[in-house]
Amino acid sequence: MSNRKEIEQLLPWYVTGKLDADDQRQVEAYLAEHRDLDDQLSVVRDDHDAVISMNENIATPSSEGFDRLLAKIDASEPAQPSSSPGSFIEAVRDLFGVYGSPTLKLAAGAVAVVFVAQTIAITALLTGGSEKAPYETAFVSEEGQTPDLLISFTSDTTVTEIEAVLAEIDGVIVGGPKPGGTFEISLRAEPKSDEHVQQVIAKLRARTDLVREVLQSE
Amino acid sequence: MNQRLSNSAAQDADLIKRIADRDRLALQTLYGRYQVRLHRFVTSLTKNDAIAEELTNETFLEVWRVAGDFEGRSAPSTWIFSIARFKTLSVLRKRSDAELDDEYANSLEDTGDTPEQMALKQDKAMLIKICIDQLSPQHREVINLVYYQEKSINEVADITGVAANTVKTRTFHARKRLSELLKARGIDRGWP
Repeated sequence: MSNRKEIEQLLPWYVTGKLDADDQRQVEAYLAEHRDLDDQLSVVRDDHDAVISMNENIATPSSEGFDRLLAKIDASEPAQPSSSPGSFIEAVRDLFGVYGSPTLKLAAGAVAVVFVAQTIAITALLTGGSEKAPYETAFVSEEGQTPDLLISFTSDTTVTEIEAVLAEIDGVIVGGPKPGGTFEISLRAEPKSDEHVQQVIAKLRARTDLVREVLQSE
Repeated sequence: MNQRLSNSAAQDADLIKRIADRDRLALQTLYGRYQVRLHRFVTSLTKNDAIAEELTNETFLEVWRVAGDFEGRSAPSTWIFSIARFKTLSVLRKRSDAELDDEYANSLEDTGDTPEQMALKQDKAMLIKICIDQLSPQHREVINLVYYQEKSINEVADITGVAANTVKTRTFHARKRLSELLKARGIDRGWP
C-alpha cells in the first residue's frame, strides 16, 4: 500500500495502536519517507488527546444505576408459576431471595405462611360441605409421583436446611403445604420398599432440630 | 488482539454466559466493567447526561434479556456497544427536529460571550471539544469509538454495521470536518 490517501485514513488507528501488523508496517514505512505527513499526524494526536480529555470530564454516572437496573429487571420479570415438583424449593428461595437482610427474610417467611394459611381458610369457607378436600394446596402433586411421607418442619427451619434434608433422603416435595403446614414427600429410591421408607422416617425423626413430625403417607 | 485484551474478552464472554443463566452477580461485574465507557459513548451521541445514563441502563437491561443469544461471533464489547448504539439511535430518531435545532443553537451559544468562555476559547483543546460537539452524530460516533474507545477498524465496522472501508472514509471526513470547524474559529492546523 503506498496510496497517500489510504495511509492518511489509517493514521487515527496508527496513533491508538489498533492497526494490524501489516498496516502498521506500511504506515511506518510511508511516514519514514514522507515527513510532510508529520503535521497531519500531529493533528491526529491533538484530536486523540482532546477526545480522551473530553470524555474523562464527562460526569461519572450515578452510583445508584445498578440498583435501578435491578429494579427494572424485577419489574419486567414477574415470577413464573412453578410446575415441577423440585421447583418448590426454588420458589421459596426466590421469594426469600428478594429480601436482603435476615430480618426481612424472616418477616417475608412469616407473611408467606400467613398468606398460605389465609388462602386455605378462605378456600375452606368457600367450598364448605364439599366432599372434596376443602382446600387447595399451593403446590399440586405431579401425576405419577406418589407421596411416601408427610412431613412438617419446625418454624425456624431454613430453605437450605430443607434442601439438605431432601438431598440426604433422596426425596422431592410433590405436594403441600396442607393444613398444619405438612408437605408430601416422594422418595426416589427404586425399588421402594416399606423397610426403606421406615428407615427414612427413623432418620428424619432423629432430626428434631428440623423436623416436627413425619408420617408414612397412606 | 493482544493477550491482555483476549483475556478480557474471554472474561466478558464468560460473564455473558452466566448472565444468560440469570446470574445477577455476573451482571453486576459486567456493569462495573462497562458502565462508564458506555455512558461516555452514549453521551457523545446524545450530548445529554441524563439520557445517556438512562440509555446505559437500558443497554444492560437488554444484555440481561438477550444474553442467551450472544454467539461470540464478535467480541463481547463490540456486541455490547452495538446494543447501546441501537438504543441510542432509536431515541435520537424519536427526538423532533425542533429539539435538535434547539440543541444545535445551544451549542453555538455555548461558544458564548462571557469572559470565562472567552478565556476557554484560548485553549485549543477546549476549542477542539467544542467543535467535536458540533459534528454530526455519525461523525461524533466514529470519533468516540476510534479515539476514546480505541476500537479497531473492524470493531467499529461491526458496531456501526458498515463496511471497514466506510469506517475509514467516515473517520477521515469527520477529521476533515473538525479541522474546518476549527479553521472557522481561527485555528488553522495546516490540514486539510
